[in-house]
Amino acid sequence: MLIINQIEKRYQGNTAVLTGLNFKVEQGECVAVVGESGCGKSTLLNIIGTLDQPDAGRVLIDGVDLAALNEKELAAFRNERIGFVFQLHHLLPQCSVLENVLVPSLLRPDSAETRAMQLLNRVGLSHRLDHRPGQLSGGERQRVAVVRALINEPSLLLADEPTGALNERGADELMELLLDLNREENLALIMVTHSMRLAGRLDRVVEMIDGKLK
Amino acid sequence: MMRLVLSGLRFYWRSHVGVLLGTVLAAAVLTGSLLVGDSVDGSLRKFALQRLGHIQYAMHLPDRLVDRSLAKRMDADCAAALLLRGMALTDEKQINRVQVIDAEDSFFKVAGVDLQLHPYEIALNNKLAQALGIGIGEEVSLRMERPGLLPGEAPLSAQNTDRTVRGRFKVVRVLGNDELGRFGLAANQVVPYNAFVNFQWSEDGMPVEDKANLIISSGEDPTAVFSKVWNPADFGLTFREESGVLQLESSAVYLEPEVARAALSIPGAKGSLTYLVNSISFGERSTPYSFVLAEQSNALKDDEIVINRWLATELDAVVGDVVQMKYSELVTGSLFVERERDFRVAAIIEMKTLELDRKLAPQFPGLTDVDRCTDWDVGIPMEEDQLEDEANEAYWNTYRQTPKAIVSLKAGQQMWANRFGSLTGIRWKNTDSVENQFLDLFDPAVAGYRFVPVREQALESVEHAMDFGQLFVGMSFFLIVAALMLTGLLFVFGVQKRAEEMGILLASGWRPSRVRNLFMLEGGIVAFAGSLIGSFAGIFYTHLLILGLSNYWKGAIANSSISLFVNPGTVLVGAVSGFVCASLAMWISIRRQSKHPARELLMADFLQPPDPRLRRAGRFVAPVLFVVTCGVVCWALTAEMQSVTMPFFSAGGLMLIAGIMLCRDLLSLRGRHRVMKSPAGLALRTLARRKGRSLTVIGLLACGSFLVFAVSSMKEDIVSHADEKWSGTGGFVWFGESTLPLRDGLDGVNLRVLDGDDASCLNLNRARQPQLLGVDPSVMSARQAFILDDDVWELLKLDLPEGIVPALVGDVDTGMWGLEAKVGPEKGDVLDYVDESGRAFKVKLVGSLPMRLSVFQGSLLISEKQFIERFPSEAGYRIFLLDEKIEGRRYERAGLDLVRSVDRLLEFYAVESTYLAMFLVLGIFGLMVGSAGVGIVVLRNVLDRRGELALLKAVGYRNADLRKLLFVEHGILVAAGLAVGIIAAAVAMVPALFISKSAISIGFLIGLLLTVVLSCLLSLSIAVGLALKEDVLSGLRNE
Repeated sequence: MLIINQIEKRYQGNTAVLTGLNFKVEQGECVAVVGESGCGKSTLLNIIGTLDQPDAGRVLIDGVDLAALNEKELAAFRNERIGFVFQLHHLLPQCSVLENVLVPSLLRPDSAETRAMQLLNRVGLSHRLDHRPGQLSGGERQRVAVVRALINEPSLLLADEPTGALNERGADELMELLLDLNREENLALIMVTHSMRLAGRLDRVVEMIDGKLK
Repeated sequence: MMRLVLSGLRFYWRSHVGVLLGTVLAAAVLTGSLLVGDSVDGSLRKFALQRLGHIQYAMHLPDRLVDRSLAKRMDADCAAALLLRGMALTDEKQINRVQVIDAEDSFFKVAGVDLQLHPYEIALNNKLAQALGIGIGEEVSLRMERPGLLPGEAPLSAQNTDRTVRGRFKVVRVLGNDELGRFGLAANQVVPYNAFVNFQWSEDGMPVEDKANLIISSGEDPTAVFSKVWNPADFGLTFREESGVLQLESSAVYLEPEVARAALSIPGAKGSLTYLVNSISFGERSTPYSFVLAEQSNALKDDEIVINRWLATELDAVVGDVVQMKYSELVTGSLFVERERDFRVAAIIEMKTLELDRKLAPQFPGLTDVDRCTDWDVGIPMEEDQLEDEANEAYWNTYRQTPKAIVSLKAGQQMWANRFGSLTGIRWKNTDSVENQFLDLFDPAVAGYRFVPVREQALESVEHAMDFGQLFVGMSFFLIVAALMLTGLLFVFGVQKRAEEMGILLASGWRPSRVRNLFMLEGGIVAFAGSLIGSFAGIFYTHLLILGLSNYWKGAIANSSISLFVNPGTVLVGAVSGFVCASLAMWISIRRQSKHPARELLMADFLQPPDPRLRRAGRFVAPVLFVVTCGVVCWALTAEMQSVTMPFFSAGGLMLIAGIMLCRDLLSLRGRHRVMKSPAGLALRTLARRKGRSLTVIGLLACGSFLVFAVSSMKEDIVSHADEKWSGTGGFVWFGESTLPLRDGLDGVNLRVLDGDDASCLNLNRARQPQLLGVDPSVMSARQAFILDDDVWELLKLDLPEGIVPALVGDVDTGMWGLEAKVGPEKGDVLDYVDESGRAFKVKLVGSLPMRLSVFQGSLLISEKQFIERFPSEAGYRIFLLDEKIEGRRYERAGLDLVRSVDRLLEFYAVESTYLAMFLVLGIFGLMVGSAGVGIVVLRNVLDRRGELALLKAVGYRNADLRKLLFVEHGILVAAGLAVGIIAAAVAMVPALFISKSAISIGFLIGLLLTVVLSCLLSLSIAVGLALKEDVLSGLRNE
């Protein structure tokens, strides 16, 4: 469902981050991307998630060439097809758990409240619906972030070091949850992580070296 | 700690620059406003000194004359002049109400001006020269009042002679303000029209020689010297001896009360009163127009008369017969009523016995100095055919003013005593030392001949002048508050950004007070620097305000030119006040922030639910305040209040608080709503998150829009009700003011005038003795003029104890602002005046004309009866209220100016209107600062929420969605702020609309609203544009 062909990305100062990178992910596949800090893992994730554009090369998701989409279409594509989970949960402090989950769905005419409730129930947060992020533990917040990422039923879930701010137990629990959801929702999961232990639990592990995946 | 402070200052310099700018703005506006006060004070002081030159003391006798030589005898520092009202004329123009100063060279020397005028040379001040459009070398005519020894309305005063005198002069000098161009004795910054001519000319052209009505002194208090050098002749008093009888008489014919009192206390004094009666009749026989002497005599009863042989023969009357005497009694103004009284002939006296009385008869100009009876020119009504009586003519030719009869002094005074006096002479048979005794007994000061410290009074009037500093601080108040709120807001942002730092310090064991002090010290340094810079920037702000006052707001200072005066003390006060205010704003911010426990600070999460009890209680605040506001409005409408100020600010203030509290409640409500359904719901939720920030913006805009809209609504439509009798015009179409009095007045309501200080809003100095106007209250009552509910004119008829004169203040504003006095029959303030004879009397402000603004603004109205009793020599009328326009040319010799009454009101209203304009401009500045505040809040919110916005983008929100979200979010704040302010202004204006019958220009208000909304939207657009220009996604980075 994801095909990346010869993408390149340079940053200011002409530093090459991605150099002719090729990558393929199948529907329902879980892939871990590992590598040293600053090697370009997050850049790759941002490009896949349409938050950034490559300088060269093509990215196709479900056969759609991202380069052919304008800003409006990209935003809609992101909203419908892609889910994001970041190291920091980025929950809106002014909103309740339920509302945070619903934020991506606000752009759509139909209500996603039922699905939100189901998902929150699924992740064990049905008793925390009206709580605010400040009243949750780190693991709970990250679970809310995961549910938010899934609210619009994306086909691709991108997770950028989602366990980075959690302890080992919390990280394991979140990993378990992601894998369960991957199975239940049949979505592709690409996860950037530093933890080889967690990476090992995924279907495939690729390492980024010199701007390429190996 | 200092190290931390300094590193904080260095590291967070960007935040501090914002705080610094806010403080600079607040301190600059505050200092600038105070400096405007200094500048107005300084300018008024300069004007006061310019108008007096070196003059320290002055004796001004508007209705009397003294001998010019008096000044020469006193001191080298004294000089005399005649100060006269007049008109200046060229072929094209006539300028009325010119002050003519008939002076000799010593006058200019004493006043400190290098000026010498030869006869028929004239020096004009700049204002008059410009008004006439002439310069040096050109010619100008002056027509001025002809000063007379006998008051114009006094019985037997000549009437037909021209009461004006005219001369033609060559302009040799145009005097600037520093050269006595501003000369005037009234405490007023408005430059009069001044014309200086040489004394020599007045001797040629005036009926009085060597006389003056003004003596000035540039030295020490001249009272002591004056008391040593005066002599009776200086005051027109003469001791005349005829055949061993000494008589004291006055060139003004009637002896003033203090003169009479002093003279009658000399042993052997006998008063006498000579009058011209209309006829003396016995049966069918009668003789017209006869002098009758009333003298102090024990031998004569009050119903007895001694007639001379000629009269006895003419009437064929003998001792015991009863004769009838008809005479004219002066009742009021110049109105005479003929009365009759019977006398029994007690004796017949031979003509030669009356030789002494003929010689001692008073000299009436126009009467005793003409050859034929038909040439008599006297103030009493006379019949032509009676004047041609041949027998009487023969008597006149033979015996001149020999009295035809003698009555007792008591009877004479009962018949002929009038407001000018009750004696025409006092006689002594024993002439020894009478004059010396008189010198001892007569006190000129009691008679009103006294020097007044004019310079001291002028400076005192400036001291008590309107405080423009306070006024501008008041007008700039919102601007100052807006700047301080902005400072506080920026500081709060800085502090919130550093919440973690605060939490770490607390977690490290720092006491909260120490943490507060650390931040306060850092903020204090910024506040100090800001205040210091701001106080100096205030001088520039003052320049701007003075520029505005000199060009666009001239009305506020009655077209005077104000110069910049910088008092270092004021700059210091501005700096200290700015520092204190900014520090206070910071202290409040720090205190609120440091209340959070370290845990919350470290998490930078201040979102704690409020105390439910407080929340429940707070819910009632807005409705309660709203009800109280309605109560205030109803009370103001029903309590017949005159001033709208109190209800306006009470209702407005309460409504503002109620509105802001309501917004707070609404935000809390939205914040608690379970699930948001749209991006707008998300916006509301965000607003509720930072309620303090949101309410600050709402408050800032609400206060600004309240002031701006309320002030705009205060603009009254003077013209719309001007034809109503209850309005400030009294329903009169025309208002006339003449330079010289018109004895018979015009066809309308006529008022007598005693010149005094102008207590209207056109005078920036504090009025000490406002101008008095004498009016017939019955005439006003009959016309229902200036009457709203009760007939205020009835108050002028009050009989107050101790001879206190009841007075009405010209309008409500004069009482409130011009005089700052209480009015009312009971509690009214009492002002001191001195009558024409030098006697002090009190004027009580028993009421006021009921409207805020009337054509009588700046004056006090007393009844004409009281006026002429106290100022008998103020002959005729100088102010007129007319229903129809009259031919002005007929009265140009009197210098009559006619203006539409409504134009006069508009002239006064221009001052208030200018204040409103200034208030509006400063309020708009404040709103601009408020709009900038909105922009800063938007920017700050966006920066704070970069992560949030990045997340939204990551989940599919477009830039357009984010822009819309931010617009909705902050647009709600703008709309709420404006709505609260406008509704509060509308509610506050309800009493004003009904009480002052203001008329609001809806078009102007809509235009204003659009301008404000557009400026807020512009500020919002710029801020949102700038915020979204940055790479929003950088907010997703993990650092």
